[in-house]
Amino acid sequence: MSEAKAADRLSARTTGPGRVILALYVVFVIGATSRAAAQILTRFDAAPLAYSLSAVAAAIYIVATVALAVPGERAWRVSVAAISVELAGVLVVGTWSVLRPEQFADASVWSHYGRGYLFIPLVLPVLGLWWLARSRGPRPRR
Amino acid sequence: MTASVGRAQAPGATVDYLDGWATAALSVGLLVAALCLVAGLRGRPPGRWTVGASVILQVVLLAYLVRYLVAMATGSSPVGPAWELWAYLVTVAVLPALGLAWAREEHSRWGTLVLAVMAVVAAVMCGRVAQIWYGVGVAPA
Repeated sequence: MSEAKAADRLSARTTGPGRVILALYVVFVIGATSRAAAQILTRFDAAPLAYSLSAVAAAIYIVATVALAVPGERAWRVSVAAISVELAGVLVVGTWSVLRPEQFADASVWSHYGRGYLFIPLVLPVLGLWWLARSRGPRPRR
Repeated sequence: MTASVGRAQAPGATVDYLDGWATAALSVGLLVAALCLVAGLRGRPPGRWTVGASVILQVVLLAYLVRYLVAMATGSSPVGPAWELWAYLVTVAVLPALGLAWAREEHSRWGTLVLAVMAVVAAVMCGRVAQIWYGVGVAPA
């Protein structure tokens, strides 16, 4: 009885494929946050633009991950917004780094469309939006 | 991390930062990932083999961490930044445990695929640790 209740409260977004997507997001929160913190604290002057963009990426990953993990309609909308911004960010920063490589003395998470991270930053928001479109609604689905 | 998979090297060049330890950790990680990926794609929930393999990977990764602990305690030091090395090592060492904790709650193919994701990430990060140790692809100070 209480178990069923707990399952109801659990977000439909964190079961099934959502769990794999959330796992990837958790990894990117760890990766992007530690990378941005390290770059900014130790050598900010070397590539200020790239490092600031790393920090922005880290912040967006944190918001997206928390919103994915939290149940409810409002969190669903926050996660759609955060992941849309994430997709736009990868595309804009990726294109920017290709067109103006001299402004990227060192890599940021999203430069060259996330090449340094096996292009997962490019695929992840697409997967995320697909999953959010599928998992909308009050009832968890299998 | 742009050179993380040796992309900048000429074809056929030896990836000389992969010493025995790194090769072992990387290979076990990729093997466990392949096992979990196949099991997940076949629709298997986390079971004896996939959970067992992830536990073995966890042990290997802890040994990998201890290896660097011993190396630094006996006077060696990485070419790249030490704090970055340890940030990776500590993250790597908790990944399989995190995946296993999650797989317990998700008794479907997706739980198995979480194990696969964690193993791939751990393998890649082990390679990155070796790069930092030997100073491959490390940002200029």
